[in-house]
Amino acid sequence: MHTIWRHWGKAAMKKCPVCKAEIEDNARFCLYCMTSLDEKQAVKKQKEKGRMRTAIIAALLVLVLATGSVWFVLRRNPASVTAGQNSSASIGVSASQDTDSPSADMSRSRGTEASSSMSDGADIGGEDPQSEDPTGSGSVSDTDSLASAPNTGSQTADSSTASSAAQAPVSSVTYVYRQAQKGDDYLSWLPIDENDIVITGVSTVSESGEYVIPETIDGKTVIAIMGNAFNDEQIRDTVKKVVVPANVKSIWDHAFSMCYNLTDIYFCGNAVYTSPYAFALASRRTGTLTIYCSADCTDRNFRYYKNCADGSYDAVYEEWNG
Amino acid sequence: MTVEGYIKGLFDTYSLVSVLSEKNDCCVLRIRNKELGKDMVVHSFPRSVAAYEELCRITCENLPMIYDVIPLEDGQVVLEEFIDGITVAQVMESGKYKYLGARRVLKGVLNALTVLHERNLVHRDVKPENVVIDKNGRVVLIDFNASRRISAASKDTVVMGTVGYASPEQLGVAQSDARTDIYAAGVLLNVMLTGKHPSEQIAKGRAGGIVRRCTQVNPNDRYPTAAKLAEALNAFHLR
Repeated sequence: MHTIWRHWGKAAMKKCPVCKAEIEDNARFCLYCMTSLDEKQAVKKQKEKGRMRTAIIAALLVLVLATGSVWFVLRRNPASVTAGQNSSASIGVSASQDTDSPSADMSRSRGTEASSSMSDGADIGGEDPQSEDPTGSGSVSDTDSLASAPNTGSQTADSSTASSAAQAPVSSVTYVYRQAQKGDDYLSWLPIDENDIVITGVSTVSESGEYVIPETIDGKTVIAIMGNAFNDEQIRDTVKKVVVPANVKSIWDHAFSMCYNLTDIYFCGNAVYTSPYAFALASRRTGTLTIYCSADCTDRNFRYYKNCADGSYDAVYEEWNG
Repeated sequence: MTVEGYIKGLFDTYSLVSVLSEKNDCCVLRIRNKELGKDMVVHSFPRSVAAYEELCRITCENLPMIYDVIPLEDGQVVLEEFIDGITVAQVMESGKYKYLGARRVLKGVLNALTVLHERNLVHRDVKPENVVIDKNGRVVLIDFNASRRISAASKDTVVMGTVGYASPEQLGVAQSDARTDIYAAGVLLNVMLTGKHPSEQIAKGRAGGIVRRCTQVNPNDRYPTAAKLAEALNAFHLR
């Protein structure tokens, strides 16, 4: 079937220039990364790669230079600011001897400008979540007027960590089987996303034989009954009545298989996707399985249930306002 | 005329090269024109596969050419292009795919699926054995035995497909539609990258995210179309 690769191990091998995998010498493309190995293309690609590499190096250099210069300016800033304040103050003093308020106002305004720019600088230092030591940013400021800057820095750091902690649980949806909690302790389930839950099994026998599945568990909506949920050696003989809540959309293969004593099942809602095998062999002993449909159950997929016991019994469908 | 009679008639002009597969009365033969030396694939089915009649009118780089579909008394015979290549499953025997390669293969498959889905056909058997790569690197999706037409209100009555690649709804829970193939494509991507089913090991990085979304139990949570999945694959260009 594959003529060119028939002598896979025997043929002379070469390395793919892109992914370095071993490939046949006369292959026209690499099997593992599907790159065409037409010579011209390879040369072109390599040239492009070289160009890309130089471009990346140049960009990195520029970045390093830019950050270096910014850091340099920031580091030099406090000295220049204090120098500016000193000089403006001296000018102000000398000017106030000669003239009136305007120049003094100017010096003040220059002073506030300088301090505001300083606090900005401190904020930049404080925003870095890595710098947990607030004195690191505080050391930048050597004037008393800016003593509050480190505090603001630490506050922003706190808030950033808090926000990241709040985001963390949203990102991960865990698929872990978990036992039901008190009140629902006869069920086991599996949360499939933030709002929905599926029933995976039954862990405790109900003495009355009634299994009422709750509409919500832990605030999550029950949307499906998974395969073999009630088909458990300990459980299946005890099942007599089952109430399926309104929001259940699907019942999977063999969910109620081998439940020989199941006589009544109540659908509160509209179970749209019900496996034709959901009730296989169920209620063969009692002979009749009565299926009670709610009024809003418009889609009668229940016809499939007729197949469930190899034709040895008939399901009875009754309208039910549950 | 019966299927057997028709195939016997073919051997006047063609010679048998090999039997590619033979199961469930579906027989696939590779035959060669005695004079021209050109190869062709003959499928014989005991039932009629509607998808082939539709495929006759399609030309797509990622689908095999269907030369003819002959309805017969006891089945159907399909004459199909022979693709001289290697299946993804055979490539996997000697090593895993690099992300770049897996993406290119999957994009070919998705292109084929888009064409099929546009015509209301679902393939329902996307797996490494059914993806062939020819010697020029052309990716072709083959084997339409399990394919069917999407209709509005019927469930899958017969369970078809391959365990592991078949989505939950294919196993009788709901009607299979385009998103059934998306599920299988997700599994295919994971198998190409890791060699394992997503339930055992999921691919690393963003590819894993794509696999996870493709293989959601609820079809509504998957990518809605093959084109959308291809877009997601495009979204991060590494090289």
